[in-house]
Amino acid sequence: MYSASYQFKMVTGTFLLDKLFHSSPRFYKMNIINIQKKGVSMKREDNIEQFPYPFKETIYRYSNNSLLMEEPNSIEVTPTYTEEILLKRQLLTQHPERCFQSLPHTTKAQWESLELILDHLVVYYPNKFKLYKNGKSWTFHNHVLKEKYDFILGEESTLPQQPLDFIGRQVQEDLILMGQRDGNLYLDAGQLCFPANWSLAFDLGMSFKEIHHPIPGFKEEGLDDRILNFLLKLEAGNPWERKNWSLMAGDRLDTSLETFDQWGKARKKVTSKNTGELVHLRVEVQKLFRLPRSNNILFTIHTYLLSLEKLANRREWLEQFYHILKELPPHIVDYKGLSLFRDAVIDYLKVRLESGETT
Amino acid sequence: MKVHFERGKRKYIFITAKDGIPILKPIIDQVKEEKVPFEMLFVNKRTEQEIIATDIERCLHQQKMGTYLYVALPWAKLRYMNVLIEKIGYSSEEAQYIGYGPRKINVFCCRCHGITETNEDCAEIECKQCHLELSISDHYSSLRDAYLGYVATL
Repeated sequence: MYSASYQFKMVTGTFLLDKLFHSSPRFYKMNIINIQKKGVSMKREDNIEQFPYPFKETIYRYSNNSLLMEEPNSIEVTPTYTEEILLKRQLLTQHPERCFQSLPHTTKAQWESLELILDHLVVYYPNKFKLYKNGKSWTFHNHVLKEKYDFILGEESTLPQQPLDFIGRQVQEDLILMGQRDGNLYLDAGQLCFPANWSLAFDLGMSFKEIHHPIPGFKEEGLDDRILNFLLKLEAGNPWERKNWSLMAGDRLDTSLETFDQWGKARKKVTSKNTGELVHLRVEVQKLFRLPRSNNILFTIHTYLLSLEKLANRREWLEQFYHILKELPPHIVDYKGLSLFRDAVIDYLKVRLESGETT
Repeated sequence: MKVHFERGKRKYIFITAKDGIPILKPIIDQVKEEKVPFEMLFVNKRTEQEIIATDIERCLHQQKMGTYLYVALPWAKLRYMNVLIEKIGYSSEEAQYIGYGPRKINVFCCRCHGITETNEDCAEIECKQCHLELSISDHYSSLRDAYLGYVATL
């Protein structure tokens, strides 16, 4: 049966987290209240060293920029783990239909995803996570959050949520399951708390091409066909990784389509004075794993943010990104939501280039 | 909406109403020319959905593999027929659906997920549930049977 070493209490609209490792309950309550007050925005400590800078050339176009992974790890635990997990769980509690969707036939694939991710957590972060198996009776320890879960593998009633939802609450990544059938891929299930302006609830059930229908230029020269064919041939044991990028005004992780009327307004507030601090490069590291039993593909999506101010501290990044933005075609500028502040960003980067202020 | 002749089938079934006959006539003529067996099933304005379901269902269940369907109906009846035919077991590769007349569409609100019905030629509407002004896109979800409505103005 599911058990946990923590309890969430609703106390006058705030969450109180007990027994948090290395934090007093009072300290952690203050942090939760801060997250609550700021909505879903929190002051981020941009970590430039760990930032997955996405560009290799000075020209950017849509392409299949996937690379074979050297280390087959579907997840990364970063210094912002605790804050992001708490934020995720808050979003899942307050907006369950926005953040988790699944079609009825996906149970097997969800369990397979859970097994894969649990294995990676304990293999790559053995000091933070432990897993004990006694036949089908498993016990998972999340030492970061001081939580313990007992469940029976394959029995959904022994988990507090559906398997994909459960394991998604242990990792910073968003998780998408694509079912492969009839020579096509379909969005069958997903846990999506930090989307870049799209809706899981709307896209559920869509084929690969239907999902990407709004992207101008994606169908050009058969790129959509080539990427779909590549994905259909993905093999178990050979995962691939790619990066997706956009620029955003603000440092909010939850930039769902559902909340666009809230965070989208920040695009109009970019000025020459605040560009460095307000505008962020948003990068998604996407990892693609073939699940051998269900034949589904698991996408994990880890979102990182870096302010332009910090990006511009690296001369080689500053030069390259400046050239990329200057050359970027209008349809990509428009789709990535840059139209309102692209000029301000280019001006800012030019000033930084000319001033020579970098590290 | 264009109809194309799907050659090489063992039998064709045309499901239509009076106003749909001109749409299907070129195909019917081709089928006659190729001397392939075919059947006409008529749905008139007063035909209740239960009658449609019973009679047409009975007929379609009796068909053999290789039967191809052409369905030309007013939009309001077409969706119902599409669902019925798929429920019987015909795949999308075994039928063509042609709608005509005024068409209503559903719009999925990007904010509250509410569905608002409107005319096909509408560009913007107000969500019935959360009253957000929506700009109607051409992004369609067959699961929701709706087009995505984006925030019209920030």
